Order: sequence, then structure tokens, then C-alpha cells
Amino acid sequence: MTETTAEATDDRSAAGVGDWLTRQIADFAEVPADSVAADRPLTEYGIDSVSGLAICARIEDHYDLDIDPTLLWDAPTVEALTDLLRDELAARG
Amino acid sequence: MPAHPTAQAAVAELTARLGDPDDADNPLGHAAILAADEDAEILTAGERLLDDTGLNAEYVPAALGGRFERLDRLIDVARTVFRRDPTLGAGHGIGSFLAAVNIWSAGTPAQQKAVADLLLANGKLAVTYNELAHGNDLLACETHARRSGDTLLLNGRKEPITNAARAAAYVVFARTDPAPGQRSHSQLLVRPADVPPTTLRTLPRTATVGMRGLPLAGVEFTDCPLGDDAVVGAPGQGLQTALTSFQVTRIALPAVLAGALDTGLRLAVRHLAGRRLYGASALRIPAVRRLLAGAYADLLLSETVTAVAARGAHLTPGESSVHAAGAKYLVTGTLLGAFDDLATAMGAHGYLRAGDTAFFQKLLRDIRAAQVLHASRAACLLTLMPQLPLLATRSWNRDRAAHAGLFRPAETLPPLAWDRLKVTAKGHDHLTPALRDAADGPAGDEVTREAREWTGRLRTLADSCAALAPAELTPLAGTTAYDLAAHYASVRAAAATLGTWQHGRGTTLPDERWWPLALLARLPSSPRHRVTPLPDHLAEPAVEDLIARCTDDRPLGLARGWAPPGGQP
Repeated sequence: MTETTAEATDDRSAAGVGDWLTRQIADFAEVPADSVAADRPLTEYGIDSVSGLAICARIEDHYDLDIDPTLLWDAPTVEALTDLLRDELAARG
Repeated sequence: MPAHPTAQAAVAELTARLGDPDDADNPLGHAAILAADEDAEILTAGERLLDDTGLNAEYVPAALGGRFERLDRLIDVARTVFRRDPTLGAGHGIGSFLAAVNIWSAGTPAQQKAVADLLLANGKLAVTYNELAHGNDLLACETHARRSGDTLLLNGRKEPITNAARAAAYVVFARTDPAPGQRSHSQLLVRPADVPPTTLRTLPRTATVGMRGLPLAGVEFTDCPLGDDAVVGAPGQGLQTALTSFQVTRIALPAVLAGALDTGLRLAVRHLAGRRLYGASALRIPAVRRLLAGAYADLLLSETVTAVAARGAHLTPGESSVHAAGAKYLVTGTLLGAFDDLATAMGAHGYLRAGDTAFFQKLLRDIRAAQVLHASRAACLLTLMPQLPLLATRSWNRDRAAHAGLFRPAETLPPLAWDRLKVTAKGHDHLTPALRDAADGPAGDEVTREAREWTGRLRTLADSCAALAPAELTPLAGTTAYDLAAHYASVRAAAATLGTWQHGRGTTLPDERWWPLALLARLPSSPRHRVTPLPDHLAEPAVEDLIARCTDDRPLGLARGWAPPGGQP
């Protein structure tokens, strides 16, 4: 576990959410965050159904959201995931 | 006042109309069923009866004109058929239900109406997941539909499929997008009457060792043209629909299969009671008594676990993936083990195709072949495995409270909310905290002591699972995660047992402490342990209860206590 994942951030802007997500993916993939491209499928970084569940749980815990476990099915890139999460957060106000 | 009879009334009516199983002249009796089995035919008279009594309505939601509102009612009624003849139960209605749940959960209103009307008119629906080459590996499915103008052209071959040659409609799982991922498959509702006959061909019947009368065959689609209205729900929703549908069918199927064990126990007790060996009734031989007691405990365990899981689908739908996979894995294994024990007790008579015990060998074969109906036990473990680490961190290692409603079969249930069934439980588990509640019982009590043992086992399981790396949880990674998932199924069964012991009072459950202890004693105590025989102090009261219930022709099961609102158990 890298230090960045524990770092609290309350930045809910698109850039903030995107950065946080990128760091999570990098953490699971065990690669530097700057090597994770926002438009590439997460599966390319070794994210599978198991780590996908863990990532969903991290998203729920971090943003205090209740998300559907199929979230990553519909949003298979950091970019798509950021958009969906932004919508969720906006809907919650 | 409900417009349809209560579950108890429906079960009583069906039982009465099935008549005396031992009457050689009863077209629905054991002799007739055995004759049909020898001919590898489904019991035609049985199908006619089930059509006459409108059994299919049990599988159709009340909102669409049927009687399906509660999974426990559906189980009670369908189990009555399985108790008489598992092949009839599988071939007549439950096969249609396995298909229809996909439509109830994801279909358009028009598809739901069409399927409801079809079933209420005694038509059959077939579900086609299986391809011989890919088994339960759904994403590997080769059957595909590609777009050509306004039409989808379906190609591929599905087998073995229950009722393939006589279904009025198929629910076909097919790839609808060449892209990788979980949004590339759809379910398609295909009516043979609506497509050119040359594009849909049923293949020759598949013979099986058990459930010999079940009409299994393949179905092959060749450029079978379908409109967009054939797609069940949204395009690409197929995997999600399948996985959530399994959460209902993986509970219902093992629950109804337990009916076969009910009959197997009665046959074994009757045979052994009439048999004199070594100068006494075979029922007095301690080794025989212990085998019967174990198999009886297995029946109670199967019914308890599935009753709790069925309530779970209504009360904690988000956790239904673990309710269903855990129950299906545990109960199908328990039923197989129980039949092994009964066959050991019966000796040669467990295998004779003629004489007073002939029906037993049919049940023995049927229960083994039930595998052809549905997902394998390994597939159930594969559902649990990826969820283990999150369950450990989010539930088992935290102070969660049990949902006591899971354990109260007499209480009412909210309607089944299809949209609240989720593909995974996201680490939530409101069942296993029942272990800790039971462990807080009176000190010195044997049930409390057992509950503490199981609480410790859950803690050990949590430690093992929290430490699992994602790479250890894939199908090919090794046996460790499989063993842990199987053990989790046992821990859940222990929680279901202890929760029902604590909260299930005031129903028809026996108020004797041998039963929770006997059920717990039948559960493997660690990931690599197997089922062990019951100790004498549990086997004796269990076998006495079994013999008394068989002699008085009383129900053997536990899960009969539920009552409709305002009704009597």
C-alpha cells in the first residue's frame, strides 16, 4: 500500500476525483500514478473482477457513496469512472 | 383475503391429488414413476395433473396473474412435486422458472406479459446458458447475435437444455458485442413459432444416468432472425441479468431438491424397519441408526439453510449473491452426502431396480444427475471467492448486527425487489453475526459452547481471507481460495442454524436442542475437513424423532412453519 492511498482528499472537482482514482488504480496495479492513462481500459493495468470489487469498496468508503458493484462494467477507464462518480456526487449535492 | 390458496392449502391439495405413492394402480404413484423412468420418459400423468392444478402460476408473479410473491411459498409448493418425483419437478415447472426469472428481473412489460401468458397457458420456457465446451464459464459463450440492418441474427448451439424440444420459448444467453468485458452479452427471448423453421433446430435428445425421463436436448440457431424486441432489458445487460437471476434460482433449486431426501429417508426407514438382521430389526443396529440420523440432520440442515436464504433474498437482497451461492454449494453437497449414507444403510437394496426399495435407486440417481439442471458447485464457489477479502474487512472483522428476520420463518416478507439484487454483496453480511449472538447465550449451555466454536472459526476465516491477494482468488490460482469459500458456506450454514434456533421459536420447529447441535455436527469444522458421523448423544434423539415422524406420517422438514399474514402455521 502506497502512502498516497491513505492521504485524505476532499477535492471533488473532476480533476480531484480523477487524480484520486488514478492513484488507486496505480496502487492496485503497483505502477507509478503517472503511468496510468485516463483513457485506457483498467484491465490493461491488471484490474480484474477481484481488484475491481476492492476499488469499488474504496470509492464507497472514500466518498461515502453507495455504488452498484457493476460500476466498473459501465466505466472501464479512469476517465469514464470519473464522469460517473462526478454525476453521483453531484446528484447527492 | 388472498385471491389464491395459502401455501399450506396448495401443498395439501397437491399432496392429496398426487395420491398414495404405494398404490400400484395410482398413475402418479411410485410404480408408475419407476415405469416411466425405465422408459426414460417423463411422467405424462404427472404433467397433466400439474397442468390441471395450474402449478405454473406458482412461478409467475402475482402482478402478472400468477401466485409468485414469496420465494418460500414457491419452494414449499414445488418441493411437494420433487418429493414425489424429482424428474417431474425438474421437467414440468422449475425448468421454466429458471428461465422466467430473467424476464421477471429484466424483461420489458411486453416480454413479461408474453411469458406470463405462456406459462399460465401451461407452456414451457427453456433457459439456455450451457454450451458443452464452456460449462459455467458464461463469458466464454460462443453463441452470438450480430446486427444485420433491423435484425439480429442469432447463431450458435446450446446444450444440454431442459425441455429443448418442447419449449414454447427460449431465453438465450448470447454475445451481442464483440468487445471484451461484462457488457457484451444479452439474453434474448426467442419463440420458435416466430422464426423461420430452418433457423432453429432442436438436436437429438441427450440420455442421462439419473433424471432419465428429463427431456434434455440441444438447440441450434442458424442466422435466426430476431427483432430488437427480443433483447431482454437493455442490450449488454445479459451477464448482470444472469447473475442476479441465479440469486433466486440457486436458492429455489437446492431447496426443492431436498424433497427427494425426505422421500429417501421414508423409504429407508420403512425398509430397515421391516428387515430382520442378526436376530433384531435392522433399525436397532447402532451403525444403521447413526447413518439414518446423519441423513435426517442433513435434511433439516438443507431446509434450514434454504429457508434462511429464501428470506434473505427478500430481506437482504443486496447480499443475495452470497445467500444463494453459499446455500447452493452447501445444500447440494449435503444432499449427495445424505444419499450416500442412506445407500450405505440400505446396502444392496439401495441399488435394486425391482422390489419394495426400487424407488430408492431412482432417487439416488436423480439427485446425482440434478447437476444437469443448473450451475455446478464449483461455480458457486467462484461466486464467493472474489468476495471473501471484502467480507472479511467490511463485515466479519467488524461489530455488525444480524438481521433477525432471516431466522423467523413465520413472519411476513416484503415483495422480492428484483432491482435490489446486486451482482456482489460488496462485503456486507447480516447472517454470520448470528454466531456471535448465539455465543452470548447461557454459559455452560452446549449450544452456546458450539456457537463459540463457530465464532472462532469465523474469526480464523476472516484472518485467512483478509490476507488473500487478488491473484489468489482467480479460478486457476490454486485450491486455497476454493477451500475458504467452501468453509464460508459452512460458517453461513452454522449461522443459519443458530439464528433459527434463537429466533425461529413459536413456529412448527421442534423445541429440542439436539437439532441445532446435530446440524452443526454435520458441518465440516475447517476448510479441509469433511462431514463426520453424528455422535451417539445426538444421533439417538434424531433417529427416534425420524422414526416417529415416519411412523405417524408427519412432515420431516423444518421449514414449514411460515404462515401467511394473519394465518396459522
